[in-house]
Amino acid sequence: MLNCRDVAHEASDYIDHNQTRWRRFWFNVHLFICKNCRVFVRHVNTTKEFIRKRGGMPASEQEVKDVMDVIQRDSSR
Amino acid sequence: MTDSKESIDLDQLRRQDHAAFEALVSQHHRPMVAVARAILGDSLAEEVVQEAWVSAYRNLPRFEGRSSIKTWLYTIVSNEAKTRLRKEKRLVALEDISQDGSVDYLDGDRFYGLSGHWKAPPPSWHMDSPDQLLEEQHLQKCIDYTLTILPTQQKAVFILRDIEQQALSEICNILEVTESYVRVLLHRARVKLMQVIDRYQETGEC
Repeated sequence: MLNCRDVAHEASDYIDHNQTRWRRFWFNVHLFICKNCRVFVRHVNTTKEFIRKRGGMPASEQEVKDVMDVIQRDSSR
Repeated sequence: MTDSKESIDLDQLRRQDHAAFEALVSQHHRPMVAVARAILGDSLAEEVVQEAWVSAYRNLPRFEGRSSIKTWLYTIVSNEAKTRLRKEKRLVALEDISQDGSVDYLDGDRFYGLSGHWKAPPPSWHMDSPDQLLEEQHLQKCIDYTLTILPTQQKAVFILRDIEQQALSEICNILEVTESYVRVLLHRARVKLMQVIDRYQETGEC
């Protein structure tokens, strides 16, 4: 039987389906009886989905310019 | 911010079209810097990424598309960084978790010793959907800031997996680390960002 500490440490593996079937079964049993862990797992999952939807930050204009300058110098050699 | 990704015309890139290449740099430069930092540390990362871009530009006409363009770019920067690491003869223990500089939220005083139960329930969120969170401009700034201060390997793993959606096996190849280690770093990063959201929901601040 898993406890809350185990569940908190393995929440990402649960969300990403990276557990054995047996481990997932016991994880689900724990979630069924523990509201705190359900909340924690939901928050980790919401964080993951929020970041995925938000996407990455593009490079700044200066960063792009620096790279293009290096390319230019290399091409003109 | 993600919608335009992978929409750059590969034929234009193969012809080394400057506008297309600029768009490619704009999209992938920061994840590439994160990869280089995770392998090399801060001091040489920018230089190695520039070398990787030169190498990518030269080789674009021969890009066959057997992997996605971003996987190809991350592999190039990873190889450049590993080559530089060998040249510099700096031994960095990539798998030393204790070196990632983080204090784990879950290792603290959060659970009762024997039973492992929560001492206090996780805070409740009044905004609990990703779409609601996306509307919070100040939260976006808090997240951006937190991403800048994550330990380098955690940051690289998090960006590659949760933002760039790379497979775990690809991340292991790019960073030359084991899958179990990637999973530990990924979870730590997610929990750190979750804490930022916890705090924001409670106080409206970072």
